[in-house]
Amino acid sequence: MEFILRIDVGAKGGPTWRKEPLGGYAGNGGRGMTSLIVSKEVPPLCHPLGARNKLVIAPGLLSGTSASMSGRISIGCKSPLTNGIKESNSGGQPGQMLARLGYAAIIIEGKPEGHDLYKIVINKDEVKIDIDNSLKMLGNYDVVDKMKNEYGDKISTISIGPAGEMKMSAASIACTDMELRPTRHAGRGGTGAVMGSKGVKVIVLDDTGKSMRTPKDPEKFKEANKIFVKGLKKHPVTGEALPTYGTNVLTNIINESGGFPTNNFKSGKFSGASKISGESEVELQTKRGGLATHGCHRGCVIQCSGIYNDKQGNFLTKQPEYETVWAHGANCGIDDLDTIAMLDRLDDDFGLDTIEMGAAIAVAMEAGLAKFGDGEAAINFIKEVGKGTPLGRILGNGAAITAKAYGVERAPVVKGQAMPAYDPRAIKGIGVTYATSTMGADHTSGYAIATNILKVGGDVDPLKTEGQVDLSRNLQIATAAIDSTGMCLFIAFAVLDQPETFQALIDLLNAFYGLTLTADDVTALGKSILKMERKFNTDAGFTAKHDRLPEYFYTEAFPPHNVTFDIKDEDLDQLYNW
Amino acid sequence: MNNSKLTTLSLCVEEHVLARILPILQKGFIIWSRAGCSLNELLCMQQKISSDYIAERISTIFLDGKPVDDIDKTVIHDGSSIALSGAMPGLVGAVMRRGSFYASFRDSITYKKGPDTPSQEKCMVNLKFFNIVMKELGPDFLKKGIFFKSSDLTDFLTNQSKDFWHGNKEILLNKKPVGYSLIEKGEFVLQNDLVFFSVKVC
Ligand code: SF4
Repeated sequence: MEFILRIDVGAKGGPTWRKEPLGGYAGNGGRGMTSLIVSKEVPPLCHPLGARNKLVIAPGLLSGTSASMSGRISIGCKSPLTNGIKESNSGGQPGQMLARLGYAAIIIEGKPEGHDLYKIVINKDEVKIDIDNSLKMLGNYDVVDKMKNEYGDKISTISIGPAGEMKMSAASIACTDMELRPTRHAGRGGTGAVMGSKGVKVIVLDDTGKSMRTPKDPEKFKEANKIFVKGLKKHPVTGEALPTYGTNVLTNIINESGGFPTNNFKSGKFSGASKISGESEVELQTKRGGLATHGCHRGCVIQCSGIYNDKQGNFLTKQPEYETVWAHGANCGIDDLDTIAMLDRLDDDFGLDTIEMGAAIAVAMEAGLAKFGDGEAAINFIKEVGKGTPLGRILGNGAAITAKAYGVERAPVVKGQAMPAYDPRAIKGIGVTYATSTMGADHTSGYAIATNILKVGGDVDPLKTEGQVDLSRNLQIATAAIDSTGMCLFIAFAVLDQPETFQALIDLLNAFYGLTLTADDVTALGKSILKMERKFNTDAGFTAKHDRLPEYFYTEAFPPHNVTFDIKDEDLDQLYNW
Repeated sequence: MNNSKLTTLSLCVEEHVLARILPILQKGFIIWSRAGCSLNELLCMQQKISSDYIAERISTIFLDGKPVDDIDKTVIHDGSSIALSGAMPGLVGAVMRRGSFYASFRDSITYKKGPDTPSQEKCMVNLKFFNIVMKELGPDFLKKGIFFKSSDLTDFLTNQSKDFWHGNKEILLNKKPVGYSLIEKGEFVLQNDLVFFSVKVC
């Protein structure tokens, strides 16, 4: 990963590209790279869909190596959904391929004149940028099929569907999985709209002729990877729960806790939870000849994903994840897995964030456009988005816009981005992260990693309620660091509980780059990323007032526990004081 | 319990059918206990789940929707609903774990022991098995037989397809062999509150 590929789509006479040395960007990867480039090169007050915004695509520090789980790819820009900085990451094959092709980042800048659509092909010998208007308004599945026909099946692709072309704020960027299907998405924050604004429909990667990236110390690297994999396999979450049931194993638990937002965050218990749970999903998949355990990219040992077949036993979509099952299920009052799977397929094809779309549809249901539980109406809503009808364009711009258009007060958003599948009144600590994250409401911003090992920002007494802000801060710092490695965040569970697995992760980085990083350095990396992102947002006009949940979360008691969000503003404001 | 109202249903099934029956345990089944006893006593002494298994495998427990940290200090009452689960992913999964480092995140919903209400009264409890617990403890519980609300069981059985029934080698309703069409239509228990349901692989 010794180069940056800079593509100017606004150049006179058509797009140009150049290969640049890393320069000041050396040593960065994933979120660290995207946020650094966006901070340095994108004016915070620019229009997200304008010429001065840039789309940055960066594999992680360990992507393209033989380290397990290292295939995440980060996509960054100024978000059209939040108007702040955005990093959204995805699984699939492109992270590994881009890294093996030697690119630490692709930067797409400028704005093309006219309405042509571009296809960018990158292989070991060349970069080719061609106009391909035959791709116009094609869904991601058709785009990938066309690319497969043209370039063979050894490729991977990064593409947008019609939602990205229409520059909708809920538009995602699709990455292909091992079977060359566009099922993995950088979903959050409207990165697809930014790619659409650059006129780029698809990036085709072909790493034929390139091999794995080689570590500075191969022996140590191999040893560290062995310990790392062992740790993942022996942990009950990464070795059992996730491979067996996928992330949707959470449905029963979160529903049981009363924190499972139902019918647009009206209550925390969904009567149809057991019908859409991971346990039921796996049983159905197995019965139909699908797969309950499957990786989204080569080298994944956890394999939290799966294959969802329709009633006839034909592939419909990948196993819908917990967030999708919640967003299109409980949050819309829908208890039918086939309907949810169809919505997932349509989201993937049109290129839409499933969380944002589930939240937008639930708001539309609250507005009276359909009844909660009406699966057919939900499917039709997504189809409207795909066609770009006036209603579709409202929904495709997310929950906040939908609420505004239909006069609904209860829009579950922070900084314009819809909340994920955990109600912050029942699980307040996650509310702290929703409120203060640089990304808008986002559960992955403060995920799970060994804060007890890292002791970021000093010791925290986790049993004290006041400790929630400190814990959320630590989690956000640690997550920012993990997001830079290219490692799937699901490693966090094993790393959380097993110090030797965490050490193995650091050893992997050290052996690969010939470094002597310690846990403190990892902390410092996470802090510096958050600081950059925070500064970008401040310069873009964000203040402490944006670090709040919507008013109704403070005033409306949430059944069954009948709790409100009561973390004080002064406490939230302490999050960035370290 | 009024035994005169009790229906029994026993299935003798092929292995793959058992896997399809296990998800019914997510909704819960009925057990009897003693009001005022601890959750630990209920699970270990009464339900015979080994303390090692509880310590190592059941890392997430809810009583009436409240995450539990200490099973010795958790008290059962009539109508309690208990859910047992393995370790869960995600930050929130970690938050819900017993004795979680992140327990403060869910402080306002965590189970807290109220004033002691010692009692010897027999009480009815709903017990749910999720994920690995469902898979690991479910087959034995089903083999011994457990009580279900008739509405939950009929709801489950009437939603099964033909291939499910073809994997049933023997169906005994109140100890007498019957064809699956009767069960499939759910016409067998509606008048009863509870059904004693057992499943074995044969
Ligand atoms: S654990 Fe899941 S999301 Fe992570 S790399 Fe594997 S399949 Fe992809």
